[in-house]
Amino acid sequence: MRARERWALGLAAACAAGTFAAAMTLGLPGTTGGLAARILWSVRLPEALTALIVGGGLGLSGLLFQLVLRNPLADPYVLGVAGGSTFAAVAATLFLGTAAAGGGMALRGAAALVGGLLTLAGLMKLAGGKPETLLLGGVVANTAFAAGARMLTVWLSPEQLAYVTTFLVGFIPTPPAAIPLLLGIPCLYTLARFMPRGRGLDLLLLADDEARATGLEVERVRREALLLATVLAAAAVTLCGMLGFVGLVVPHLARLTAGRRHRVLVPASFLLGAAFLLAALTAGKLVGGSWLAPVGVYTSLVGAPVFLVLLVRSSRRELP
Amino acid sequence: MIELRSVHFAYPGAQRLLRGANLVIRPGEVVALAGPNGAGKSTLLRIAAGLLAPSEGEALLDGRPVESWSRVARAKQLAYVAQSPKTPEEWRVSEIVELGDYPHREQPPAPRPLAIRLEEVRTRLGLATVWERRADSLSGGEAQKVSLARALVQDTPNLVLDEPASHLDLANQMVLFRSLSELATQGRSVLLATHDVNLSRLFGQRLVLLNGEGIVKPMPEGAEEQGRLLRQAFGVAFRPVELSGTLCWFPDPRGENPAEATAYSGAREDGGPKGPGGR
Repeated sequence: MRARERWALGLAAACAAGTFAAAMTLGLPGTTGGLAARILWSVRLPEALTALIVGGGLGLSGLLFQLVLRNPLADPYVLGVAGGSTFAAVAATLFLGTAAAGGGMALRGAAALVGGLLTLAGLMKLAGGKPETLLLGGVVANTAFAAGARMLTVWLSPEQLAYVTTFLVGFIPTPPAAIPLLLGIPCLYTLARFMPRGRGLDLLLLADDEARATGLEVERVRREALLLATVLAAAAVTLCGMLGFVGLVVPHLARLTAGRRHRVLVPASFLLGAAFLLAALTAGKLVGGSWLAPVGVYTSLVGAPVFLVLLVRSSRRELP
Repeated sequence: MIELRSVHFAYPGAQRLLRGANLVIRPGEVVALAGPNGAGKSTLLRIAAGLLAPSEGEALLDGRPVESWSRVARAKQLAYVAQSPKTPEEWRVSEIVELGDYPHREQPPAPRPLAIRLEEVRTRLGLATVWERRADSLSGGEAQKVSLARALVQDTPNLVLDEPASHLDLANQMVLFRSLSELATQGRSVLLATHDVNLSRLFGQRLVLLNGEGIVKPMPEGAEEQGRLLRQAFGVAFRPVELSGTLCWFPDPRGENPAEATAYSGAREDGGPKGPGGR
């Protein structure tokens, strides 16, 4: 690993650690002793863990989508994968209730995963390998799924409606600590799978035939990366609903700081994604002061201008 | 060693492109494959590299069917450069070239250290001045050399190169063909597609032609036979010029392609030595 890559990874880790500490401690109500400790352990810690894993997962998901589809605009939300997951999760809420823990969560998670996978598979078949068609189809699918999800709200009970609203806005819940840890499994698997063999992902940037002739099982790696990216996005949706721009912006920030090699980009995207969502969570707490901050609003408010800056920067560079 | 035995191939719904092509490239040999556009040169190269399965016949790599090799084991034996290679934007040249080391990350390790192989291709292909430049700032020819360098770092006994000289200037073409001859003297087998029917022969390399019939024909000995084969393959007349003991062939603008011949004589009658189809 080169000096710059080590430096960038260290910086990303410091960002993640700093924002984690901030999310744990900033804006704590002025209580002392037992109550503060209880808030720290049973509210702040599960929230911060959720943000860490979901943010990191979205960063990884965006990186893999952008690589496999050879498109810097790809991300689970743009591609409609998150839209499909959200619609399926809202439908599951309608039929199964809002039980956040245990079976309800698992079933909603399964619905989100199936919704995401079916959306991706359908769009890929429709697009026939054309990235522009895939992206445009994804935008259309997202809009349609959002309308569909809103339509379902007509039949929801007030309690379900309140839940689904937070879900559509994007929020960080305070689940039992076991749940974010459970969803950390796909993240850990992705890191373990692609970090030591980041070079395999690098070869996907060559012409397919050249990557094959260099020893890469192109189709298998591509399929695996797409599946993992979808699982990560569905996991994020299951826990937190719609969190726009994390998967889109984070891989760009990672490339800007850590260079282009995936052995570094994979962990950097995870760490920066975690830091981004943790920062949004903290900002939500500081600005809104509510228990359930609309984190998705903050990620979009920050993510959109950052992405515009990156876009303008890259298009300027292409001019003669 | 690369070997094709009566290879037939047709793309789905299209006419048969290859109809019993035979070709052997022994260790120490450079074979240049020429032929008209659409004759199936790239297809033949992809079959030889194990990237495409023939409809009939077989492709052998070091005596074993090419598809029987595992992907990594094959990548240690054969390197390939596509006709339109991709050099990932925003990557540095050194990083792209290093990608060629991928198969050697798995056991057994490469016989020669990566640093030595990198230094060797950097010098051989004259990449020192662009080594730390980003790929999106390279010219077409420089990018082509970078892709070739990546394949050379793979350090394989067999090389399959699809038109490696198409974007190179004349000096770089000389560098390329000389390098290929040197690599062959180290015992490598090199198969390349080209549109230049002379350069490889000037370097003592074997030229074969893929004509419209989908079979591979070696360049014959006699001048008359050579001219006839070239005319039959490309559909235009050729004129010979002897250069360092090698008979070089150039398409004759006043040759037998009726459209070209008429345009040329018309231009001359207007009173000037203008090119074919002159303005």
